Amino acid sequence: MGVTASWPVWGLEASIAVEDPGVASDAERLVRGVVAQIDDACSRFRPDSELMRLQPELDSGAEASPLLAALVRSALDAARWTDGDVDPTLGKDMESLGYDRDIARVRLGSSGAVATLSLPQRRTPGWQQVDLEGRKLTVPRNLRLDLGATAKAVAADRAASLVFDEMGCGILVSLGGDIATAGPEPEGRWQVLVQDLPTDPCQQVTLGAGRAMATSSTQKRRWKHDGHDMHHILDPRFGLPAEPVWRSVTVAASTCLLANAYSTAGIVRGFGAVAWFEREGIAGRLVDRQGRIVATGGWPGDEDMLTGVDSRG
Amino acid sequence: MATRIGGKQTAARITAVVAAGGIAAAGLGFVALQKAPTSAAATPVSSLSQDSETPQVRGSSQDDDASQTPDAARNDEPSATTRVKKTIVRQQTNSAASPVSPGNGGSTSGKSSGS
Repeated sequence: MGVTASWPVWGLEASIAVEDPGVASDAERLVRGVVAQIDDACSRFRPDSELMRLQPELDSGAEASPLLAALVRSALDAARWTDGDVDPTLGKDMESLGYDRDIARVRLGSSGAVATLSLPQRRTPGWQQVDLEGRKLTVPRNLRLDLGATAKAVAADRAASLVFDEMGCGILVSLGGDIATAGPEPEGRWQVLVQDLPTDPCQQVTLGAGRAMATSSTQKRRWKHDGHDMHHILDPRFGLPAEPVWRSVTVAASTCLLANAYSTAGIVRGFGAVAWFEREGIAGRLVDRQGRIVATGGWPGDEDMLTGVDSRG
Repeated sequence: MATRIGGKQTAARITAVVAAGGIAAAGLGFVALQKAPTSAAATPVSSLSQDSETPQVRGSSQDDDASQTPDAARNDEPSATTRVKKTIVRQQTNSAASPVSPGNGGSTSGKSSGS
């Protein structure tokens, strides 16, 4: 692959790969622009984002911008595809668990609302209470949207498509490990290393042209709250971190949004994810707590796996 | 090169055996949980979805540093609307060839890891 560039965004690493060095800087500029637009639309950590500004009016319905409406629509699609395992209405639950700022600041120490964890109580699914008619968005007062996961995936999809549309070159966009590709693939095809932590088993795979990949992890974005270890993928049925049956779940699909929805839902669904992925034909790679791997739906077999720490960087 | 392939095949077989063992262990664990006497305090809650091939076991035994998240029965029977939408998703997912295939050992363009 010709050129890669990377920079920090949302406390994560964003990167692009293009074959022609002459287009790298322009491609990066386009990708940065898409990320900035999406941050402006739906960040829940910035009081000046559109979502936060509209929040007081949402219970009676407010007109969203085309971009915010599209992001909400994508989040609701993900909820439908996963039977609600990916729920965009967990914003208040995240806040009550201490994740109310950028993750780097959350880790510095707890502040804000503190909820004492007791026996989990089943909560009413929120996503079905969100109404989006055209661009009129209505969210009940007791719910807060958190579009973080799906918005990142949509950003990767949009950024890759934009670069191809504007510049006509093939590109791979990675936003914190959520990958989207667009345009022609390079000579060696899109080679992707799948690995969560450096000590986890790794595998190099070929991602088809125009395809996408996402990994969800219970090992990242962890913090302490009220004496408990937390991670950021909540089980919507209880509003608490999902049981970490899997260290990570990786899914390849036609769009990053689809891949992200299924990888996140795979964490939430626990052991049941394997049979579900097989039924749905989802190409997935699930790594359990002991580092054992289960592949589903056409994910390359074990004979192609490189185990251990990858040394190629 | 021949040595590398042999090593990979051996590693693959070991990985396959370990993975199969893990699945079998999960299944045994599920059966054991089903047969265990009920104790709200000590027994991780387990459930079997309506789809009998999808055992769902959750509880504290798998993770000693996480919050407790017991499971409850899940209705896996999709509505007609859901079935249509899932068909669309399946078509998107399975369109043409698999979205992912074995790597070729060349330089990588990206890394997929959790965020």
